[in-house]
Amino acid sequence: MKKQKTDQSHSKLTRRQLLKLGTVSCVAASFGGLGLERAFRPLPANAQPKPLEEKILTSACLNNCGSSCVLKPVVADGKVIRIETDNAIPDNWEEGLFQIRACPRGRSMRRQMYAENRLKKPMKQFGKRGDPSGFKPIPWDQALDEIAASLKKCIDTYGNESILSIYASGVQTGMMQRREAFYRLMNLLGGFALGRSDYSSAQNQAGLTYLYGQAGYSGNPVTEIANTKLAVFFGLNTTETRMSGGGLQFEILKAKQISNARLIVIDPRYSETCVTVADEWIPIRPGTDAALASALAYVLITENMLDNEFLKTHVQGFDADTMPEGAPENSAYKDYIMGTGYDKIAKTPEWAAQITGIPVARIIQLAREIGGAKPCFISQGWGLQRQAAGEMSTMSVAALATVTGNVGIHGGGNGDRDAYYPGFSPRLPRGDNKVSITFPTFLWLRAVENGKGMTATRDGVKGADKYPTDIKFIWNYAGNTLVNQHSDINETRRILGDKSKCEMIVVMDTHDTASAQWADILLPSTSYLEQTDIVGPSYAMNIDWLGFTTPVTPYEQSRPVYEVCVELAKRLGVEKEFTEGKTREQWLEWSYETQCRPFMPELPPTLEEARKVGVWRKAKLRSDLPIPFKAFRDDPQANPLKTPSGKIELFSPALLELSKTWELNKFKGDVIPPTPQYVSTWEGYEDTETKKLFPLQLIGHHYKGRTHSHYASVDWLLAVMPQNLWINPIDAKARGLRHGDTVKVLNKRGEVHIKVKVTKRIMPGVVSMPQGAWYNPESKNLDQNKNPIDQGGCVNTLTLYRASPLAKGNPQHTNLVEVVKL
Amino acid sequence: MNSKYAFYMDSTKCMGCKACMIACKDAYNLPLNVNYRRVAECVGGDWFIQPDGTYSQNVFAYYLSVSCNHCNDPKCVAACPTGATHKNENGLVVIDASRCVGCKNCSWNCPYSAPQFNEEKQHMTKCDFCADRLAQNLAPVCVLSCPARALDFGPTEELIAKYGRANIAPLPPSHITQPNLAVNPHQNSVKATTNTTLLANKEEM
Amino acid sequence: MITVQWSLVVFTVLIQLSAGLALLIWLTGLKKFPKTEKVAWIITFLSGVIGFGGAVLHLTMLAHAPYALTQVGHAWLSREILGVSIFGLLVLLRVLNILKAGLNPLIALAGLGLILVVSQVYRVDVVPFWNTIGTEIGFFGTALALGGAVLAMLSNCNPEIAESSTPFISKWLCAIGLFMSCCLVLFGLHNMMNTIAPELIADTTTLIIQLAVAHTLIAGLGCALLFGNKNHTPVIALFAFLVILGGEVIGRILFYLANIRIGI
Ligand SMILES: Nc1nc2c(c(=O)[nH]1)N[C@H]1C(S)=C(S)[C@@H](COP(=O)(O)OP(=O)(O)OC[C@H]3O[C@@H](n4cnc5c(=O)[nH]c(N)nc54)[C@H](O)[C@@H]3O)O[C@H]1N2
Ligand SMILES: Nc1nc2c(c(=O)[nH]1)N[C@H]1C(S)=C(S)[C@@H](COP(=O)(O)OP(=O)(O)OC[C@H]3O[C@@H](n4cnc5c(=O)[nH]c(N)nc54)[C@H](O)[C@@H]3O)O[C@H]1N2
Ligand code: SF4
Ligand code: SF4
Ligand code: SF4
Ligand code: SF4
Ligand code: SF4
Ligand SMILES: [Mo]
Repeated sequence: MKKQKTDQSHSKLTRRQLLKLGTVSCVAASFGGLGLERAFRPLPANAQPKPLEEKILTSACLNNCGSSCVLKPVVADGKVIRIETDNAIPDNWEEGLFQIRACPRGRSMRRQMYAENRLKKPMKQFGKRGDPSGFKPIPWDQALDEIAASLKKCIDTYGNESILSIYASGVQTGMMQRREAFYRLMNLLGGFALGRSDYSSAQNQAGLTYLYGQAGYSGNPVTEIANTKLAVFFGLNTTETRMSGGGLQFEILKAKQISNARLIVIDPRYSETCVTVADEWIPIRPGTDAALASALAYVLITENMLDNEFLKTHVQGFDADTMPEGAPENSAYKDYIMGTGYDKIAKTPEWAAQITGIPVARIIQLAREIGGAKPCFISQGWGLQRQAAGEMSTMSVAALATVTGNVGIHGGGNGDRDAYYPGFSPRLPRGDNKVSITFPTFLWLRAVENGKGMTATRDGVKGADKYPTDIKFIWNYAGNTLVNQHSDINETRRILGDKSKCEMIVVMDTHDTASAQWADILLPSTSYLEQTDIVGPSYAMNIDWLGFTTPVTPYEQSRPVYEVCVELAKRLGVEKEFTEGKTREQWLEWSYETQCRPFMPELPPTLEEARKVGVWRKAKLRSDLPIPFKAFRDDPQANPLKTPSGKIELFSPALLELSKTWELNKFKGDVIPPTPQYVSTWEGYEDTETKKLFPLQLIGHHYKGRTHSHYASVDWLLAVMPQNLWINPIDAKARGLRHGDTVKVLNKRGEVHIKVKVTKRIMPGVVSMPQGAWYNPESKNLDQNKNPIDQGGCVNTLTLYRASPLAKGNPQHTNLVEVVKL
Repeated sequence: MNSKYAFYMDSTKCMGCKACMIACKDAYNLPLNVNYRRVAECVGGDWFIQPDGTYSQNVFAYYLSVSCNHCNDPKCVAACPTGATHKNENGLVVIDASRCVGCKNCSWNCPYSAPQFNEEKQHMTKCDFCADRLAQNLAPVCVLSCPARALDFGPTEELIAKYGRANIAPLPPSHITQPNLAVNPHQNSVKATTNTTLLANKEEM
Repeated sequence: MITVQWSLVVFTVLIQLSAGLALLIWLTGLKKFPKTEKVAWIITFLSGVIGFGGAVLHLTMLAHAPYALTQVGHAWLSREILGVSIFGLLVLLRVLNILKAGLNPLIALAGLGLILVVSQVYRVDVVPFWNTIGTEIGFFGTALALGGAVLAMLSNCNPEIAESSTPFISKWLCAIGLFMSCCLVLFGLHNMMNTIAPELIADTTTLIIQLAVAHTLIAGLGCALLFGNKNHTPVIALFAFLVILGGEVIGRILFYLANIRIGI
């Protein structure tokens, strides 16, 4: 494919034929002086190596940032020599046709692909599990034989429930390279364990199911900011976590330009979202959004700024009038807020100020702003729910949208994170999973340690009272939650190190990650750029496009997951069922005919032709994006929610029931209240006992320099977006720290050595160690528990493996630590 | 001759993502410590602890993405003893590697850290406005990379007439070199002086 | 991390020694003592050559060095290189006695001009520490100090000269030079702190002040040795020279350390 010149220059100024240049050369130009230059010019004049033939391919970055961006690898001599991105069309935001420009991570793909730590050959652990020096290369066939034998043995001995496909989000779209290949294989073999929910928004999904009857992603699309008066972002950092040039960051910029709505961000950090779109930042202590939301509700109630009509017709349990039959007295939402409930504490701004750190006057003013703005776009990110009582944070914030009647209207929203509307992204058919008993994703390590001991009422097992087996086989394709991304790495290492528990760990990755080091068999995977596929938008894009990718030569012995699963299917006697007689190319053609062309009729008759263009798009008017809950809003009787009452449940009898029947723990905050409310938790701001030794609240925000642990080891990125601990100058000063100093960050679970970024962009009392950095245990020095000290700055060396009460989700932003100068 | 082209940088949109830096680095195979484009994180304001233990603050932050500005009064050119750094026929300030002696005088004289020494090649290097792309009618790599569409370029007179020359802290006052950089200033931005302390990420540039 | 620009330190200090010595040869009328004058010119030349070598080490593409003479129209660095070449040539011709002693003033003036040119290289608009009159004062100071110290030393080796006014003038010019050289930092710091916010340069400023104190103390010690050497003991004079040279090297390290630009 030859590069089309004008294709590349769609910036608005370039279109004005401003470039009428002759040859611009950096070599020539005779300049001033004494005319000596000719005499001294080295001969031959600056010979250039003959340029290689360049080819531009189409590919995409498919990691889990919620978008997928178009990458245009420029290939010469079989190798990627540079990466370009999508500049093929002029931006037309209103019609949903705009460039899907990659962020710096995607742009650094070449560096990542050819890095030293890329996996080259299949390996087997011959030493103790977790010993980096115990790996030796083995042939692909041997690796596949051993995996197949172990799979068979575990299925036969312990049942299909013992096979876990661990949460792994490294490949988010791409029909042939997503995790479906292994699902499909396992479903042909009788099923497998797949944790429920995820690490992203477990508490949000669980909480909002009780409030709105729908598990998350239910707010208005961000495009509705174009129609609002005021937008309030609770811990929503779209600029950094939705960074794609074809994604939400760009859409919010556009939408805000239209409405010029005021935008307030509530976050412990002055996030990148504050930089680009916020008119005001309100710093808040982690884990205390429910306290703020309750005080806002208090002001809204006392100043009569509620949508009373809406509360009567659409909501259960706001006050005594709308409580369900048989509910206990004084347990409505309003009772909790006004202090007529069980705790007898009015949730006044004064009360909340002490907890949140936000001045009383600011809380009152914020309530008035929210109450006075019609409509008001209230939205939340997932940082505030990745907390010990995250379910309550997420529900309390959403409740604000309910009491102000913003649900289901243009420019408003139900207070949840935005809904998304990618039309279609092809997947390999996965078949049906016959294993119907599930446990929450986050509890996979418990299931390894003692799966048989996991119950419905204590661990959230669904489909049975108990889980039938321990996990004996782990398949980890494109994931790092085995170690790096899961809570409490030292605890994880301890349990995984016991080979009498899990018998086989297979890791298939592109790089030598922390998880890879804990594999028994380690398989080198091709990267996104090294396989043919059909890719499309991921879960946080609202545009419709399809990419037909062409590959570069796979790195060393790496293989695509589909081909690996075919080989396993062969060995396990299900090859025919698995492939349905199709080659990879035939699967793609099948998808092209049966899925892609019906979705996008303008596609050419053959896949081959589609590949010549690479990226195809379909217009979708921004103003046509649906408003969730609109039908319910317009006619709640005809369109009830999926809650038991069909209404929004500010009081949930189901939660009340759970609180009585579930086995909850003694530690602070392990409670399930029936209304959205503030819960003071272990290692929260109010955990004064733990704070005696570990006084700082630690979060680990999702960082622009990487997507989780993906891209985290790329030196280009690390040089300009290093892994640092964010700390406020006040806390730094108290510890004698200056910008750039190395510190130890520690608590009872572990110790990390890291440089500090002393910045006013984080509030006092809070530090952040951006999550996803590569765990790097240095074996010589040990911490007080004889665990290795992490030199990589991985926050999960410090997080606690303790599940949240309702979702049994990951509270990885709830931690207390101390920071000491080294 | 003055530069025909200027960069445009919309600081109100810039999220400090550094795609522009990395795209340039990738396109020109730059070593780790050489960045033709650099993104400055500017942070200001203060924290106030209230008597009741709550906090108020007026903290603000913004980003500036800066390459070589192909200045009208290029101190680098004036300082270069060999003529390696010179203005070409489009008024772009470029480095002729075949003349550079590696004295680094240009980098001493540029208040934008634009000229950077390439240890592998043993000569000075710098953003040349993607001159060979311009010659083929292609926009610069960095301009096309920006996910926020915060970067652009265009005819100098037009852009400078509209936005003036970048005179925003922590950049140096524009009168020094007359940079051909037009900035749409961020709502938080502070006027350039020589002594602003806003630059928060020197080590990342 | 601090990286010391050794090559430039060597270059500027030794070139200034060279120019200073040329000046003092003339000012003290050393031509009356042709033997010592000869030695002095040889030192002048060698010092210049070593200094020039330092400058060359600073460059990475020697093959391109001839281009460095092409921009004398506007680049002070080109002029510096030209200046060094002219001055070096003159000194060489004097060493070879092709130029006669009567032309000593010419060579001395060329040296003065050279120092002026060298100092202009550091009159960089965007480096406040450098961009002051202190740079000229300091560079002339170093020239006088080192030229003076060398000549004081040479005159101590020759009893004839010891009786003349030469050592006296050398000592005093050396002392004045040291004073000027130590003053550089005051101008530099003043300008830097007025231009760049103190918090941006706090670390460097501290280090500069520490080095400046060391520079001054060593200069003082050098003076004491010089003036205390009542018996004209050559070894003490040599020692004094080495101390003074060491001080000037520290002063120059300090100078390059203060290469802090405004801007980003
Ligand atoms: N403390 C803390 N921990 C967290 C979070 C937090 O906020 N705080 N966030 C959590 C969240 S929300 C999530 S989603 C998880 C994410 O955790 P993971 O799903 O583990 O995501 P990544 O860390 O990005 O790991 C993706 C892996 O895929 C690999 N990979 C990339 N491309 C390919 C490919 O083409 N083929 C193969 N085989 N592998 C590939 C990468 O090398 C990388 O090892 O982390 C969770 N962990
Ligand atoms: N660049 C980048 N983008 C990503 C990812 C990535 O790793 N890197 N990961 C992707 C994935 S899988 C996911 S799940 C999403 C994650 O998206 P989120 O979960 O929304 O991201 P976080 O950074 O954990 O949290 C968002 C913001 O909440 C703030 N915060 C933390 N705790 C609290 C709190 O208690 N209250 C309030 N109000 N704010 C709080 C943080 O400072 C942060 O700015 O991002 C996706 N996008
Ligand atoms: S990490 Fe996300 S935003 Fe960045 S290039 Fe990849 S898909 Fe796009
Ligand atoms: S930015 Fe610096 S290098 Fe570029 S032209 Fe201006 S002075 Fe020269
Ligand atoms: S380093 Fe090269 S380009 Fe820079 S001033 Fe010296 S000779 Fe000129
Ligand atoms: S114009 Fe080209 S060389 Fe200059 S910074 Fe942008 S990409 Fe790099
Ligand atoms: S790519 Fe754009 S948004 Fe990102 S840092 Fe550069 S200018 Fe700013
Ligand atoms: Mo996630």
